[in-house]
Amino acid sequence: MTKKTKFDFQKNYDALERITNDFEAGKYNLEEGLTKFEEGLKLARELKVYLAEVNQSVQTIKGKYRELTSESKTKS
Amino acid sequence: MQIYSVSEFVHGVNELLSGIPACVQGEVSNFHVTQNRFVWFDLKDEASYVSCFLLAFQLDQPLEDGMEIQVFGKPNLFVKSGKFHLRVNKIQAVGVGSLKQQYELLKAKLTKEGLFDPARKRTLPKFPQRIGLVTSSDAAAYTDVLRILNNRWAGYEVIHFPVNVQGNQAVSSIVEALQYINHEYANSLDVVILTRGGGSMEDLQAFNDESVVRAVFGLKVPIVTAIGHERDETLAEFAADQRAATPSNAAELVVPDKRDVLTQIHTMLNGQAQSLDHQYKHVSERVSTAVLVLSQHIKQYDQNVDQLLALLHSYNPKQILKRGYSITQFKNKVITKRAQVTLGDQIETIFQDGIIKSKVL
Repeated sequence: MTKKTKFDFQKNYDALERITNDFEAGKYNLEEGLTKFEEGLKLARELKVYLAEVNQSVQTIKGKYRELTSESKTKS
Repeated sequence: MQIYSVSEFVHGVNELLSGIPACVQGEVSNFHVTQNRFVWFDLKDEASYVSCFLLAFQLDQPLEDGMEIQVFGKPNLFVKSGKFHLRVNKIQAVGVGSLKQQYELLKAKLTKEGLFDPARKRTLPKFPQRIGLVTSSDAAAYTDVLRILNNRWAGYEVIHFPVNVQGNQAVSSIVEALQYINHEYANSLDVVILTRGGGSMEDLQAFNDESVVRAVFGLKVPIVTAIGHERDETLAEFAADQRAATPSNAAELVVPDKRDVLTQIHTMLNGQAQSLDHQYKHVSERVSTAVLVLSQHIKQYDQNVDQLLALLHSYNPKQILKRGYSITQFKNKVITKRAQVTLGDQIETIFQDGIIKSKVL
């Protein structure tokens, strides 16, 4: 079994940006376009999932921190 | 009449004279030392003078012309010259003038030796636990010191070394007490107070004695002295690590006031609490800011990905199929030229709603 490698947000984001820029610049013919389009969709989907996960973590941290500060305020 | 030889005569007279020890008071003149071993001076009053002689090591205090002194000794003739003189055993300065003169001479000598050097003064411990008190049990100074120590501080132990602070026994008892401390208490005492109350210059004389000054200088424990009133400057005080104005002041120098220490502790605690509170608020603000910035970043990236996705969709090659175009593929490769296929090839044509498979005829 292969070990799941860590998702590299920046690398994937850059790749999506590059594909979109290349579409804008008209770099792809029809065939390449079909492949790159699918690739772009996949990247965008993964990026959205990752961002949702990170956002959830930040919200959890925020909640814990709020609990901590209100606790210390009550104590003092 | 018996006839003596000269030496027999001198010897005989000396035998007679040796039976009449005398104490003679007068003014010192013509004081000088020869070969570093023989001390000579004349003792005079308005009408007469008498020669005095002693060996240098017997001279235990400074002498100078003009001093009023008492000389204890025996009359004697020198064997060689037959000259009359007083063979001195002991000298004692008398009168304030002489004591002052002697004081100044000894002060100059000991200053030169470095006994009063400010650089060798030790710092007193801040919170002493064992305090040595060298004074007379009957002195008001004794009760003064104990009272002030008790008012100011607690949790210490006072070890009293009773001494005579004036009179004939004063010098030896003070020196012995200080030597005893060095021998028995050097490691267990934190500080020593040597004190006595006010008195005349003669009363305080023991504290100007060279051996007492040297014993103070040589004490292995830091020492505070308070001798007489503030205006009385005895030599022992110059040799001490710190000089107090009065016995009560000595106690004040040796222990802190518990009220001051409590105030200091409160101030320190308040300062620390404020500092901690300040740090907490600072860190707290930084954490809030960091979380906020992180959220904003995530939001921004999310929007960027949405924009890129929208842009990508606008370039979707399959969008054109909706307008009636179709894509023809052979073995999953888009056919853009006639020459890519030959008769009989199985090709796929992709429409917006599905695929038609056909054969080239």
